[in-house]
Amino acid sequence: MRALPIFLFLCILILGCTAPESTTEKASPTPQNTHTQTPIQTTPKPVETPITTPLATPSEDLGIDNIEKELNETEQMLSELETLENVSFDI
Amino acid sequence: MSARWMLVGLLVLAVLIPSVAGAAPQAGKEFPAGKPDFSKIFNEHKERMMNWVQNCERWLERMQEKVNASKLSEESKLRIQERIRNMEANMEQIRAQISNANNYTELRDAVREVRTLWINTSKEMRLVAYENAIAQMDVIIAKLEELADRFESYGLDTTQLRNAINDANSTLNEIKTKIANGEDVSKDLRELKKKIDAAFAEAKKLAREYKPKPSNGIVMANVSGSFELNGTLNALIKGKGNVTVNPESSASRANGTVVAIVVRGNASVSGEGDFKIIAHGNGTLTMNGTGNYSYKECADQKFKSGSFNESVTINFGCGQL
Repeated sequence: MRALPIFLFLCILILGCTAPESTTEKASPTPQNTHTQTPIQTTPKPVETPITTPLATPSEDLGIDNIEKELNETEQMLSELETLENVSFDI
Repeated sequence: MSARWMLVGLLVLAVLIPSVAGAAPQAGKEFPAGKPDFSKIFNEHKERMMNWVQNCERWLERMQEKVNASKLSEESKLRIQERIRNMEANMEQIRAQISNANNYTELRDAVREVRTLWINTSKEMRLVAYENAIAQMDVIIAKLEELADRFESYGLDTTQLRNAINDANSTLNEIKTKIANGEDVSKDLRELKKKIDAAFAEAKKLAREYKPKPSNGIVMANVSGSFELNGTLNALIKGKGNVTVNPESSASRANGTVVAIVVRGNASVSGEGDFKIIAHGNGTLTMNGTGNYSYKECADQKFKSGSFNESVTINFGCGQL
């Protein structure tokens, strides 16, 4: 008679551990307020400084930035073409 | 006795339950393991192929924009635009083939036909990309040469930069010849890119040393006719024609059919012919004939540009002559 409660307890334990995972999604705690609240700005406002029109930097003045951009764009178009050419038609 | 049997039953239960649980069908699996899900495979492949078509179309669109904005001749632009239109028509056909496939078998057949179409289309795409890349690199080399002239006029040693530019230029000319002969240039293009990168690295090194005084002005001009340049300056005059420098001791002349004169200090230079003039410092440049110019009075200002077909006088520099 003493064995019955032990048997039942172990049965529940085994069944509990081996039961397949429920397919229904676990309820995730949803925030009550879905509106995103913007945090209150605590950083102090920077002291306003007079706006001065920026002068051309030496690399801008010499056109170094443009050359770099053109080189990168040319490289990008060629490497993108290589990627497109490597398409697999195996289905 | 009964307790023992219960324990045995329990062990049997413990062994059986996990295997039963594992065999249970899982959500989302419509087909038993082992049998391929053709509908899923079809959808995946169709989506992949449609994305690829879209990327090809986007690439063609961007290439079209680049060609339109490039400095290619009108004739070359029209030729490339015609090619792009043909490729777009091919891609439209490819898109239709893939899009109309309703099942795995139809898609497989469509892709077989697409493969044949793609062989020609990709060849055309490569030709267009190479032509555009070569035009771009031609422009970049010209810009690097402009930089070398400007650095030399300022007084920097441009030997390394000029060597790197010449190296890139000779590879570019080889590529142009190969393209004209219908040869494959993909490896040569990579080589050219490396050489341009090397020249660009040299230009960047010199750019760090290029620091004109704020009081110095800069003038860069091209003239067909005559010119007179006076002032306290560093200047480079290149071209074809006769040039007189006073005092001659302030000039160094390179030998060759093209005049290349570097002037340093207080000098007066005059010449007749076709010239490119770049000067840093404080002075006046008067030109007669036709040409164009850009200049700034002080180093920290922005360039002003213009052209002339009679005469023009430019004062440059914010300091004392």
